[in-house]
Amino acid sequence: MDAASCALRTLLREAYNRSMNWSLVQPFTLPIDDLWDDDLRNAIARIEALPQNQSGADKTWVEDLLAASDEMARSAVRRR
Amino acid sequence: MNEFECFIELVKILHAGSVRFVLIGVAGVNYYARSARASITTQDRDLLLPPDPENELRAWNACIAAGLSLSCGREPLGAPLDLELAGAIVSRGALVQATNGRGLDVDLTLVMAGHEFERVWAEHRTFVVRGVGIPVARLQHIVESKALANRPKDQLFLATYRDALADLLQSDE
Repeated sequence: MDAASCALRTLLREAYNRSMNWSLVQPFTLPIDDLWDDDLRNAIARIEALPQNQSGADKTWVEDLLAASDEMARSAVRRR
Repeated sequence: MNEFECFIELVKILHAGSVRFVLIGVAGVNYYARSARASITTQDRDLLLPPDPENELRAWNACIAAGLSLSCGREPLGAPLDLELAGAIVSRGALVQATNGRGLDVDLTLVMAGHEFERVWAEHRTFVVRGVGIPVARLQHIVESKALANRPKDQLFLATYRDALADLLQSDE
């Protein structure tokens, strides 16, 4: 992923999670028909079909990962 | 207890109270991720409930037993918490929010754009976290509902998730 894509993705995530004024990032998003297309549907079907995404799969690692991510974000200190 | 442990405790109490629910929203999507790259942090957890006043009331009681307070709109959910109030909430399809004030925010929703509870329930998966089964909606149902809702927030989600998904698939190939 190039630096611009990475920066945009970070911006979108921040906007989603912090209820930022969405109009600031709207110019970077696509119309819904361009986002919800056959490519995305097919990708989702492939993800759903994976063995680790069937009933009974242990997903403890997901919660551990998100908890660690939150903890890291909370402990971040701004430096100038 | 951290937010995660509080949520698992709530799920245990929901199960003990025979509450029917399915995890939807971004928290549900994250269970399908294979790595940190395809996960998206979210501050709340959305539980889809059937339009059943008795189930709604059981869900409220479970939340209270787990130490969460309830609100509807911006007002605390009024006492008494009974079937009459639950019926009114269900008939309006109103959202009830539950929070412990320490990071765990749960939305008890009766609405999922484009999908009825029973259809979502019929195809849900049960993932296991710390030995506790968590009913999670199909990834397709969750993402599709966001496309149908088409709020600015959902557009952001789709743009972000599409990117993350593309990364994930490329790394598989």
